[in-house]
Amino acid sequence: MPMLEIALGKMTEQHIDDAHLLRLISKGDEAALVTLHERYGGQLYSYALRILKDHHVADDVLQDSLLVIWQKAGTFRKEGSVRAWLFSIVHNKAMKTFRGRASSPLDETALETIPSEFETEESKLSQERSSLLRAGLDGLSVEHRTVLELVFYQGMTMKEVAQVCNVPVGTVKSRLNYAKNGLKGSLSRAGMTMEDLE
Amino acid sequence: MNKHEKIIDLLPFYASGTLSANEQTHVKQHLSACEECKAELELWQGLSQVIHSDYESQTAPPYVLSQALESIQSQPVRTNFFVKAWQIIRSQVPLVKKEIWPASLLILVLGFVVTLIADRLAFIYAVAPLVSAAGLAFIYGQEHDPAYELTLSTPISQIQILAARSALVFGYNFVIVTLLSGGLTVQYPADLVLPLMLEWIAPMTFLSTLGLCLSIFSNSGNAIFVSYLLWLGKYLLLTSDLQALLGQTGVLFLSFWQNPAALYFVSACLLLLLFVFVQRSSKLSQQLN
Ligand SMILES: [Zn+2]
Repeated sequence: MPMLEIALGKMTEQHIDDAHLLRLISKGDEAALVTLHERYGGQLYSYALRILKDHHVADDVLQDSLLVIWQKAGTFRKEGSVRAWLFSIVHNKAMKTFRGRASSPLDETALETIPSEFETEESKLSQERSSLLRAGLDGLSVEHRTVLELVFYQGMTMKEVAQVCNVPVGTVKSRLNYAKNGLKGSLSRAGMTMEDLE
Repeated sequence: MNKHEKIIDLLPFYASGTLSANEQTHVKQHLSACEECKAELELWQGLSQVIHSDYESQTAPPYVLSQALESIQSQPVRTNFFVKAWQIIRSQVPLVKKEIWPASLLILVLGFVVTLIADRLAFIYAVAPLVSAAGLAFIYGQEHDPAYELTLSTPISQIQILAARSALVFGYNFVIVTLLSGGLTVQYPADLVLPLMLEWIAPMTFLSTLGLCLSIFSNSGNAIFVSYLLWLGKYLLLTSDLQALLGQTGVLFLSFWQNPAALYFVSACLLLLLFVFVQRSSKLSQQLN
């Protein structure tokens, strides 16, 4: 293939926006699905993994989600965000699977939290605070934890979080509030006040 | 809701940097004056840090995509019902006898003109069912399908083809008569036209179904002859002494034409019979091929 064509191919691929990719997918374009997966596959996979904490199950969830994206691409509304739409599909699948597995014991060791390097550079106090917050985070239900992750890790707006979780905006607010109070509680139980956080 | 409560809901999004510029300035202003919000923001920022350090970005194993593609390829192409119906109907347009379209239009427009000239509003509604029945008597079968062999070998089932063509011709006539009825309301009051129009739909459905059935069970000539005779019989019974001659049978015959429920019921039965017949015979011809 001549260089020019490769360059053009690359260029056009980047020029195709997400909504257009979904339109192509709805018309049966497999290459468009591959491109979409290249853009979002990692994020979606990580998200499913955070909920399910098991690589094999997350594999299945992502695979199922890709099939749903393939079938439902035509139903995407232009006004919404493609990213939130994709996450909502994965969220839905992952939560269903999670609830289905809730009866069977979770493999907690499958995804242990590995302390990251920059933690050692933190001051003693903030190290303690971090581990308390981490413990508080682990104590939250999966519904509350996912809202926090969508806000802080995926950088989603309130509306987008509501779309992903398929709940009203008010529910997102109340889940954030609930999570906040839970975290405050676990800090104060450890004898830390809000002032210590500063 | 006061300002503090509003701001407090925005703090997580302030920490994650997803607020609009406008909201951001509001929060900033409030933060400089409110200690409680300041403390809360610290909590969210600390949490954000923890989540970022814990959250590992992973890449999906390549086989996830390849397996998804595999099962996509093995699926039969699934399309929306309406999209599919539309595709089938569109594919049948060029296969319906071309003469049907102008002929139906011409007769209906003539009927419209005669209705106006003779000042007999019912006239057009007497003609319309005949036009539709005649049209439907010419849509299916070896004698009318220039590509009958091809039609038999397409993946679209014979019943779908039949349904699509019937819907096309029936719908075409229906739209024309509805438009002409709209034209009649210029001359006649709408509350006179509308009941007549509604009365006409049931007999038109019945005669069309009958025409279609007879053309397939017998042939188009017989289909037209029988359906026209039945329709004509209705008018003769209404206007002549024939009713006295036929007695009870005549009354029954007339009340059938005036009962939409009965007309629709018999039409549905005829269609069912037809579909079973077509299904069988197309299976048979597939086995022969
Ligand atoms: Zn405040």
